[in-house]
Formats: sequence, C-alpha cells, structure tokens
Amino acid sequence: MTSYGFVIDTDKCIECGLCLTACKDEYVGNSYPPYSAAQPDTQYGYYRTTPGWIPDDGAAKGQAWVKPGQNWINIVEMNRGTYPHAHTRYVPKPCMQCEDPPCMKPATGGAVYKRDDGLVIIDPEKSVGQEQIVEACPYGVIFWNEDLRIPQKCTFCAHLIDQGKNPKCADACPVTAIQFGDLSDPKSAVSQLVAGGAVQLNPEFGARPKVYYVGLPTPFVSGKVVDAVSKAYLEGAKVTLTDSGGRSVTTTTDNYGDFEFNDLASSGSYQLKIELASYNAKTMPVPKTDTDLGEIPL
Amino acid sequence: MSEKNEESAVAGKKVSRRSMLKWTGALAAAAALGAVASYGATELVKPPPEIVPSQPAAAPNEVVLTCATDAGPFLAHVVNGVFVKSEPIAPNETVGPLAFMLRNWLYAPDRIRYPMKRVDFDPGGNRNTQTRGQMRYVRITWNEALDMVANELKRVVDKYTASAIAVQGGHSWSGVLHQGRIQNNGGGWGSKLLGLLGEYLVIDSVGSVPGWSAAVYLMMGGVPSMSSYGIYNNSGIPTSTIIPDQNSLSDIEKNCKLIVYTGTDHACKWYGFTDVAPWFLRFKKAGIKQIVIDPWQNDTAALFADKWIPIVPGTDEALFAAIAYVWITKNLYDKEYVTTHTVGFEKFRDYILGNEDGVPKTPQWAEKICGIDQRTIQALAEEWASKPTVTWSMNSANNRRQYAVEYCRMVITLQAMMGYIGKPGTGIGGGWRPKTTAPVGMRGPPTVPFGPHPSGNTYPNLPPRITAQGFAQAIRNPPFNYTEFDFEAVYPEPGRPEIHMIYSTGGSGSFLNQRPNINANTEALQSSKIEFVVTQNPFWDAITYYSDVVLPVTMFGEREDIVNWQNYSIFSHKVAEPPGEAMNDLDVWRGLATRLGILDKLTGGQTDEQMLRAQYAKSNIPLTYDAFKATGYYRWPLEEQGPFVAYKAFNDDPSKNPPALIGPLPSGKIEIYSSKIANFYGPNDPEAPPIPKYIEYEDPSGGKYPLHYHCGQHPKRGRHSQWQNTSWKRDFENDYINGYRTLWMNSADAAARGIKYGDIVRVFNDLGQILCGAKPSERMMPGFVFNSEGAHYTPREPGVSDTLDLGGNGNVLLPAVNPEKCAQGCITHGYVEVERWTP
Repeated sequence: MTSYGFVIDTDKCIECGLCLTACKDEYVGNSYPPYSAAQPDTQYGYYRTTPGWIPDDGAAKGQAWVKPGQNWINIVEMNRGTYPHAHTRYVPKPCMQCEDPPCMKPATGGAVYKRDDGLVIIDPEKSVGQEQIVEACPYGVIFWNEDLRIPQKCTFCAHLIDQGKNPKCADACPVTAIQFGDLSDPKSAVSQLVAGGAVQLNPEFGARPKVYYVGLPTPFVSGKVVDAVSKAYLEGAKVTLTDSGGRSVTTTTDNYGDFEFNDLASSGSYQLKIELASYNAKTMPVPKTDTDLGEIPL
Repeated sequence: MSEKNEESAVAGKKVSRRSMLKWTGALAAAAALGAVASYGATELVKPPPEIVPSQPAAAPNEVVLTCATDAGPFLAHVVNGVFVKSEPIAPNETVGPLAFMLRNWLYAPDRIRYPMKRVDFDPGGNRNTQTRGQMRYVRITWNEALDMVANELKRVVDKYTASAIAVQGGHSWSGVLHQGRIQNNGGGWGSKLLGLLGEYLVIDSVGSVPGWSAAVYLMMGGVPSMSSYGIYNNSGIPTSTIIPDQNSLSDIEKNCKLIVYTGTDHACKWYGFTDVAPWFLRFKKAGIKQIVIDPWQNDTAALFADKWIPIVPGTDEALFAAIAYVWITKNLYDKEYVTTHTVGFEKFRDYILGNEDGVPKTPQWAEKICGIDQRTIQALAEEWASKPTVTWSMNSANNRRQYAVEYCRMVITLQAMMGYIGKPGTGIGGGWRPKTTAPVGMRGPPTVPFGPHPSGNTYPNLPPRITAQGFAQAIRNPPFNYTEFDFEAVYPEPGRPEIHMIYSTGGSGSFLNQRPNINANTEALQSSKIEFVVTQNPFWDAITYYSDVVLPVTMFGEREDIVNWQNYSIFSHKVAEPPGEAMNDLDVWRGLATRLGILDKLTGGQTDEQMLRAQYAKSNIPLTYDAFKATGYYRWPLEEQGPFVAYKAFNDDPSKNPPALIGPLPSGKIEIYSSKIANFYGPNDPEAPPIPKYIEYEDPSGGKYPLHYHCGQHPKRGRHSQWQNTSWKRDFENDYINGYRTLWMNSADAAARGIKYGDIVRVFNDLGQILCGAKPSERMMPGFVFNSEGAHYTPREPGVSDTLDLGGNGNVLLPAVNPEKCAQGCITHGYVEVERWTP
C-alpha cells in the first residue's frame, strides 16, 4: 500500500524559505476541504508615539509587534560546536506524518485520521475545540488557530496529491532538497535514500515518522596538529579516533594542520591517536564530541 | 471598514484602534484576502503541462496565467479576479526566488490606495516643510494630485530650471514596457518626461558595486558607471564598467581547484537561491575546495565550504598584502605574466616588502590587524599559489565600505600576480548572471535583445548627478564637492541651482533606506530649501512619509508587461486588481505630460499594447506576439556550449588585446600602479594611493563604541526596501525575531550584556539608535554584530530625527562620509554598542 514520505537533504538546504513561502502561498486564506481550513496570516505592525496615533490602551506604545503565522514547514537552524567550530544545518520540519501519530491518541470523534496512503489529517470540522491535539505532537508542528479554534498542520498537500501533483514545498525547492515519494515502493527515490541511511528526527518518540533526513549535523571531533617546538602546522599526520567498542576511523591533517571527524555514530568518549613520520606518536582521550581540541603539539 | 474611516485615520484625527492599525501597517491582508476564504479544493484544476493558456481553464471561475516580477516567473491562479496563489512554471527549476511572496506583497495592508497630500502642505501658501515625516495625509483626487505635481514641475523649471529637480529612488521595477524608476542609465518614461523639461539632477551612487566599478576602471580600463545599472548604448548593450568579466560557472566547475570567498554569501541570498546555489552544490560535488573568509560563518561557509576563516571586518587588504608578501618572498608568483600583462608591480613589491614605508607586510604584521593566525595566512598563500583559484568577491559587502577600492584592487592585483586572469579555472568571480556564459550586465540575459527601452531615452554618457550619500551634506551645507574615480564633482555646478524639488520613484527607499546616515537625510528632507517632494510608490515606506504628494502606483501582476529573468522571457499577465485608485507609472507620466502639453513627445497616442507589440517586434523570440502571450513564456537555451574564459584574448596576447575593449588604459595592461590615480591625485595622496594598500580605517567616534557593526549585506529575502513589508518575512528568524529585525551577535558578547535569544536590543552610536531582535550565535566572530539592510525606517516618533527606529534600519548607524577618494559608494561598516531594551 502507498505510504508517502519525504527525504530532506539538509546538506543542500540554504534556508531560502521557498518551501515555507510556497506553503503560505498555498494555504493562507485558502481552504481545501475536507483536509484543511485556511491558514491564518501573519500580522505585524508598529505602534508609533505621535499624538493622535496612539491606541487608547497604550499597551504596546512605541513598539513593534507581531502575531506570528503558522509555519507548517518550519525551518530550524541546528548547531553543534562552538565558535569558531560551529557546525550548522537548516532543517525544514513539516508534519512528520507519523506511522503511529501521537496526535491521534487524544483526539476525539475521529478528529485525526490516517488516509490509506498514510497521510495524517486533522479534520477541520471535527477537531473544533480540541487543543489537546496541539499538545500531543512531540515535534511541535501542530498549530492552534485561535479564531477557528482548531488545530492545524501540514497535510503533505493532500489536495494536490489527490490531483496527482507533488506537495508544493517539494516542487518549490530550487535545490531539490525535499524529495517526495512512496516509501512502500523500494524503487522510489525516497526509499533508496532511506536505504542509504536517511534518518528520522527523534526516533525515541516512538512515533515512526515518515519524514527522513540526510546531512543533519552529526557529532564531530576536530583539532589542529602542530610541531611542538616551531608551532608549524603539520600536514599529512595520520589521525585515528577509536570508540570504546574498539571501532576506529582515520583521517589525515590538511595543509592547515587541521583534521575533522564528522558523522560520528555516538556522542560518547573516544581515544585519539596522531602519527607522523619523524615524530613520536601521541594518544589522548577525547571526553566528549562536538569539540575542537585546539592545537595539539607533536 | 469603510474607506472614509481610513481617510480620517490618515488625516491624523483620533480614530478607532482598528482603523489606525490599518494605516500603520498593522493589520494583515485579511481584508484583501477575504474573498478567497471560501475557496475550495473542488474548484482547483490542473494546469495543462508546459503550455499555459491565457484562456480560462476548465473551471469557469479560475484561470492560470504566467506572471513575473523582476525576481522571477511563476504561474498565477486567479479566481474571480482575485490572485489566490502561485505555483512554479515547472517543478524545482523555474522558480522565481520571491514568487510565492508576491501575493503577500500585492495584498499587503500598507499598499497606497489613493493619491494623498500632506495635511498641512499648501503649495499656494505655507508649505510647512518641517512637518515632513509626521505621517499625516489627506486623500485628494487624481486630478488634484496631477495638477499639483504638474504645476510644481512647471513652477520649479520656470524659476530655477530643471536642474533644481532631483530624482531619487528605485531599484529595478521594470519590465520591457513599464518602469517605475527614474534612473541615470537613461531608460524609462519618467526619465524621458523629466528630460523633456531640461537637464535634471540624479541622486544616485554605484550603490551595489562602488569598489569594483572604480577598481576595474582604474586598473583595467573602461567607462566609469554612475550607478549600479551601468550605462547602455542604443542596442541595450552595457558600455560602462561595473564589474570585471568572469569565467563561466561551467569553466569553474571543470577547471577550478580553489574558491576563496571574501565577504560574500551569494548563493544564500534571494538573488542566488535559484541559480547560484545549485552551482555551489555542483562545485562541492566536483571536489573544488572552498574557503570562506568572513567575520560571520555565513550560510555559504556553513553549508558549502571546507573552511571558514574569521577575519576582523574591513581588514581584508592586510590579509591580501601578507599573501602577496609570501608569494614575493617565496617566489611563488607568475613573474612572466606580471611582466607581460601588468605595469607598476615594482612599486607594489616595494610597498609589500617595506621598502616604501619601512613596514614589511608579513603574515605576522597582518595577524595583528586582521586577527588571522600568521601560519594560516602562510598556508592559504601557498595553497592559493598551488592551484587554479577563483576569488569570489564581486557582490561582496567588502566592496561597499571604507577603502573598498583598495580591497578590490588588491584582489585584481593578487590574481594578476598569479596569472589567474584569462585562464581556465581562475579569475575574479561572483557576478550577477551565472547562467550565461558571459555575464555582461544586470539587465536580463544578454541573449534577449529587446533593444533599448521604448521611450528611446538613453544617456550617451554621464548625467548630472550627486551621490546619494552626499544628499544631506548637499542640502544642509553646500557647496558639496567630492572626488570619484579620477574626476571631481561640484555641487551645485557653476551656473546651476541647488535642489528645490525631489521626484522619488521606483518602489525603493534609497536615501531613507539603503544609504547611510538616515537621520541626517530626514533632517535635510525637512529643509525649506526643498520646496516640493513627490513620491510615486506602491506602498508606504520612509521616503513616502517624507513627501508632500504621494501618488499610488501599480506593481507586477497588476498590469501586462514582458519581463526578462535569467534565461526566460515571460509574458506577465495582469493577475490582480490594483488597490484603490493605484495607477500605472506610465499613466501618471502621461497625465503629467498632458498637463504640461508634451504628451505628443512622450508617448503620443500610442496605447500600452501597441507599444508592447512594437517592442516585442524588436526581439528575436521565434513566436508571434499572440503566440508568445498565449504560451506565456519563452525559454532561451542555457549556455552550456562550453566553458567561457574571461580575458582570454588579453591573456593570450596582451599587446593586441587590452583587458577593456571600451576605454582601454594607455598602457593597455593591468595597472597595478594606476596612472589615472597618479595623474589626478598625485603620486602621494594617502587616501588615493596609486598602488593598492591597506589603509587603516579609524573609528570617527574614537573607540567609544566597542562592536564592529555591519549593514552591508542584502536581506536574505527581498531587495532593499522592496518586499520588506511582507508579513511572511516575519516568520523567518533570520529576517525578524519577535517582530524586530534580526541582529546577529556572538554568543559570548550577548551573554556579557545579559542578552538572550529573542530579546529586544537597542543598537546605537552617535549617529542614531535602532531596535533589533537579538540572535546570539556561535557563528559570529566576537566583537562583531550585523543585521541586513533594507528594513523600513520606522521612527518611533514620526518626523523626529534622533528617535528610535523601530524598523531596525542599519543605515541609521552608518556614516555618510567616506574618507576614500576614488569611490563614493555606500558605507556599510561602523561601530556600535548593543544593550537590552525594555519599553
């Protein structure tokens, strides 16, 4: 049976926001029954202080104010490390279209249901007043519409899928970072990306999301190897990082003496070994990841 | 809400909160979108593949039409005359970077609906120029408005001559027919109309590329450009020098081994989203090493680069000088190329080695200035010399600051030292049109020959002009004299009047937006010397609020036109009704011309469609006009015919081929020692040295404000003041946080000031104060803060110059005076302090 999903490649995402503006363009003010009511618009303004212009209550006099919109695909900046060794990716987060949707559990009267193709839909009529549906989502991608008193979220553009189209954000992405397809078809692009190691966000929630990611910032260890006396950068040093289970990865320093291990499987502690001809090898513990070890004299 | 209520709000009377909010841009587009609220899925139809008809589609009440802004094409869905949504012309590839925001913009609550007059402006009596900026307007009729503007034009010309009329504003706003701006590159109906009255004055600068335009002109030759648009000949071909020519991106992908980015984030700004970013991914895939040198780990650094090297803002020239030092002392440069292709290298070498001033420009010397470890400078120099390298710096913020010309000349000098000009995989990169092989201009693909603007109005050379950042000084303290390139400008020119009228057009705030020292400019605008200010604009922004008469005009999607974007020519249909009584710019000018009795010289009796058809007939699109209109767009073949190498002829035979085809230098070579500078400024002017140097910029406040501040980078989404009033921008934390313009700062700097994410902060110095939303980040060099330019200047107390700017426009904090003599570009670098702010 069809099971729609996304694979989002954050190595490509430049936070251009075309996915989000495309989404707003599709949904703000536009309803697509029976899947979604119109998304409320973002509002903003500036209360000036000129006499005659001041609101009577004066509450927010002389300030900017904003009533944020609903980012059904919310672009989150994820960081690891500290200056000047920050590792950053922009992570677009739509509804995860979970296999076991936590939002379904507290919903009453069939307000949340799953379609045959796996899409999770919040019925805009049956969900009136059910704010607990918003609270139930561990990914924080369900929004409360105060005016209509309904929970709202990304539908994967169910109305477009019904017409044989792709979700709008996937079509709008200029770098094809958002891949849409059928996860039940092993030949589909998304299935192959999942087979190739795409990961879910927070699998520990147990919701089995159908949005997968490539290129999320992974635990890393980096450093710079220098000559103990001259402090010159040492190029070509062999650097080995070994975890507590004895598994190791190896790299060599570049012309700046720098090495960097990315894609580390876990955030635990490691052992580091540095070897270079005509220098004594050096070993040192690495107590935690997402660390730059600074200059390591050899 | 009735329109009557809106008017009373504008008149400044006590009004209900609701109607007040509407006019201060507070309410969202709910009212405008109300008609769409019940729009249901069943009414949707699938647009036919590829060919898009202008006829109604299957559902009787929905049409799908091609439309375009100057930021790209899209398909517009229109139901009962309401523009309800957009979609890509084809998935993924053909997306205008801002296309999906147009609906949000067209229906924005701060669109101007009716002609307006400042409430206490009386052209026959007291003009009350000192109350400009107080935002009090009354509605007038179009007849009243056009009569008033026409009378003022006539009065000013009769009394002072047309030279007393200054035009300002506007970035692109243009299709083939409609063009909002009056600019000094000559195109456009407004330029033609005013030109019929006499020789008016332009307030403009080479705002985007001041450093490059001067550096290229001085070192390689060419014709100096007076604006970022360049000057075009009668065939629409640019004849002025704006930026160096660059190798095609396909050549870079194939042959380059190292890209050094300095102060640029090209792929990750709106103008790079859809065309540059995919190329950067290809560069990464091709294994080209990418190094970003920038005080901010910008998105290019975070996403594409192998290495980020933080640098103290404004000190790139010191780094470059030290790189030259390494090359010279280690014999790593191309001596033969330097001999055959350049002149004056010996003097540069003397400066680098310290023979001139006793200071060798060693990596150790540079480390103290730019904060980069001398070993890193050494390694970078050796790596750069070892393989084909491109410097990516064209649209760099570095070329919009104090001593920008030195920065750009250093880049050219380094690439010339390595012989990296005119060879595959090398060059000076980062221009504007990456999809074409030879980007020669910024005005659409060179392959789209629509010819000159139908107004037929072109300037063969330099129009009278003052720089935009000199505006306040020119008004408040004339005469205002300055140098630029290798000539001197005088204001007012002998025998000419001062400025007495300002005509502002083109949907962009210019000197109340993207030009420095806004507080000085607002004060100057209140001068009684300026007898009349008229602004023709689609939306309320700062300059509009400083105008005596405001004329509402239409935008893209509200009129038919043909728009060129990258390799597309698009028939841009009318997809939305203009708000209120908004009129096309062209019709405004027709109305004025009629009143001035010169309509026959402007457009005569030609209709828009007649002119559009006539203009189309000049193009070589292989479709009839009607077929083109029905199809919606024509896609020009992409330039994949093979890598293009800029300056190849110069590289191959410099004796026959100077780097500049028009206006070559006497030497015909790359002048590391600029004969133009030496001749004009003399050989020893410290602010205009003939060889490129690192010149220390001294903080005019004497170190009172500890943080480097920068406002030279473009907004991630939107051009200058355009698109900044879209509400959806408020949902991006890199644009706005809690309703305030985002200020990036180093986490430790923030913590030291008790500032947390999302706090409202006051950013201030002697020039002014703005409010921002704080974004502490590990991606920022300590001691450095920035926000992006373009935010609408929104004074807390309208009309008061030193008030807090709620909008967070960084140009409030930047000085207008550039100590540098060869370029008068915007200054984007200053010094500030930041503190938490509570109302």
